[in-house]
Amino acid sequence: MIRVENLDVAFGHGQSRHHVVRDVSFAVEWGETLGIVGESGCGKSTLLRSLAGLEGGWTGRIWFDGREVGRLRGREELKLAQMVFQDPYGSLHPRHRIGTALAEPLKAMGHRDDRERVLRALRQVGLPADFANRFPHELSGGQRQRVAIARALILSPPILLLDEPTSALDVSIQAEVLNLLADQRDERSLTFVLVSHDLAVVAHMCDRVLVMKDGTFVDELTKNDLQRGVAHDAYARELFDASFMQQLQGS
Amino acid sequence: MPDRDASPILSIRDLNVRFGRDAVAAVTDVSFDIGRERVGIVGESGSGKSTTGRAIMRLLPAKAGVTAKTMVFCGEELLGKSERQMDRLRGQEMALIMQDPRYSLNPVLSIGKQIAESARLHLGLKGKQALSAARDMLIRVRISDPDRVMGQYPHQISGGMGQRVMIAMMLIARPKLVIADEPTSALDVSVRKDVLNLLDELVRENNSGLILISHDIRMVASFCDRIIVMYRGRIAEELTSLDKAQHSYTRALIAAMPDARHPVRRLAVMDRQALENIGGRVG
Repeated sequence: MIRVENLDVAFGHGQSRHHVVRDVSFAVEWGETLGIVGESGCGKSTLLRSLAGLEGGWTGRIWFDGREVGRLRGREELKLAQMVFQDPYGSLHPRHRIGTALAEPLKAMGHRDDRERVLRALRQVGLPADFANRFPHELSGGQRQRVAIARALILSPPILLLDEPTSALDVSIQAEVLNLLADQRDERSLTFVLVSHDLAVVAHMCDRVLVMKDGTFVDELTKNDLQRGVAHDAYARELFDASFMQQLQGS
Repeated sequence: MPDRDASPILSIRDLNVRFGRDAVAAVTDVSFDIGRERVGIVGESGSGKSTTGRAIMRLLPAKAGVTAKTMVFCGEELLGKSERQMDRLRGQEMALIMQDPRYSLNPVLSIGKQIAESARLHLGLKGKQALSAARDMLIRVRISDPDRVMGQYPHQISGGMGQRVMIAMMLIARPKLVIADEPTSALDVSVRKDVLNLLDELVRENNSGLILISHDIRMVASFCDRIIVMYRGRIAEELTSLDKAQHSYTRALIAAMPDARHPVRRLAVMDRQALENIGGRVG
């Protein structure tokens, strides 16, 4: 479904040149959920933004569904993959009603302003239809993230790119949003790429996890590895231990 | 003084905090004792955990109504203290470490000056002495080249190092009680453990009490002797380990967390309606 070859991203020139993603290649199967974990600055978000077409300065090749996509995306290419960001408040226009925000992708893609489709999208993510008349500040964080998911799904893309989709949410709300994502994935047989620093979330959602450090992948873990707590690389193991606090003594 | 060691550092009975005249109570009838131990306060946003921490430090805005039957800190009643008396206690006897060092450090003062200021205020040291105390403290928090860091400004150091600097600043006066409010939430996972271990080590060394406020119940459980679970401004229950959880809120909270080693297809979701119904009977 997704194929990436020799993707390379660098910012700046000369002395201040910063090599963020270093020549990575990977593939994601149809219906598979791939996780990418790493700490701040490892390049995981830049990688995802390059996939989404939000980053212009990459080199290498990217295919979605067998079609090669370039740095500038046309309508048809944009319809293949949509993105959900970490902070739903930051990604919704504060003075647009939810209905307007949801209709935006439809308008951008040249569809009619289809109210029925907007209301259906709201219902699909478990929100009442009258939320279409509300403003983002009238919603809770979990509800706003549901809106962001509804907006990403409204064009029915086969691929969803998720950048820390639950990091800003409480644990109980996180559970609801992760369930929603899993349900949508099963219902529509979506392909996910999920980027997170939280190994527990990634392990729960993903079939396969790539561990990223300094712009490259240092380890690849299967679901089985995650369950047994096995990591092949020293850094991945360190990350593992740290996130589950296995070595911390209670008293 | 073995007698004094056994008595709690902080003892709170029926703490209530409300904002505005007849607005919702943020904290209701909260009572607990803190000895020379590590106690965690966990809960989700809006549970009143941070408000409780700030009420102890008397850092809430004037419009907040804080009442309690007693709030005794090292044998002294805090409730009747004037702002000036509180000023003397804060920093010296009780310290607060907040979530993001970027916001709690002064951006226009070098790290060395900020820690030295703490030494000046609380230890009465002057000039060179204060600076050398600051340098010693930086070594204590395992900063490898203290001389370079002393001259740096907060924007030049990483989050993990910033939190070490905060710990150095807060613990230089050897406070009897340290309140750490989400001290590691802004940090990367691999740095979290170091910061927590460091905090633990220094608090033990000073024989002080530590209140760790966090939303992360697993982290708190692995780190603290006791866990106080807060829900909607009240104490839902007090635990020594997660598997002893009785209250349905605590259980729901634990069940909602994804666990790599015990995978489930769907995560358990809280039944908020059911929790609301028992909400009146907690505490």
